[in-house]
Amino acid sequence: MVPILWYTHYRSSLNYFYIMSETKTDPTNFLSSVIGSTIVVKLHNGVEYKGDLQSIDGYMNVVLRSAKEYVEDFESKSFGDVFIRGNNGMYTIL
Amino acid sequence: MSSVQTAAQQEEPLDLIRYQLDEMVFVKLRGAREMKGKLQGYDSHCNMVLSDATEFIYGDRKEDVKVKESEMVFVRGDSIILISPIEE
Repeated sequence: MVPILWYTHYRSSLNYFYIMSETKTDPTNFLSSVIGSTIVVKLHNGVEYKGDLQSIDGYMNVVLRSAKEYVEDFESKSFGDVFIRGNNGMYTIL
Repeated sequence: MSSVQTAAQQEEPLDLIRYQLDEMVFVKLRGAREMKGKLQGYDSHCNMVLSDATEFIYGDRKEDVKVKESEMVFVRGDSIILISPIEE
């Protein structure tokens, strides 16, 4: 009897945790919910990349599809796919 | 339960790099350097090994570019800014 009780309790606390994680989103969860939309990523060196967000991970590494590079607001380069290492990112604009 | 499944299906950014194994890639590095080469291997830190690599070192003016060629080169992940496949 006891193990079954424990099990149901365990299940309900898991559900609670699941609901909590649905309502409170952390930055990476939020960014993964906007996969597919166009974003701008600004790096510490001032360069910006604008493209469609394809994927993101916990390090905030991102992959942008059809990305364009902007140096001082001028388009300088374009990439089909680009992987940006997370540590270089300063912020992301939708 | 459903959240676990979507997490498993989701592609990670490093998967893009996996598709580029044995292909030519463009890598932008810190210190105004760029590198092109054939991707031989990489890890989760973005450490990577490139073969037949060409390194471009940019000076203050756009004209002064130093070009270095190397047969095989190891690039430490922390100096990497971005990686992109070279389309031909």
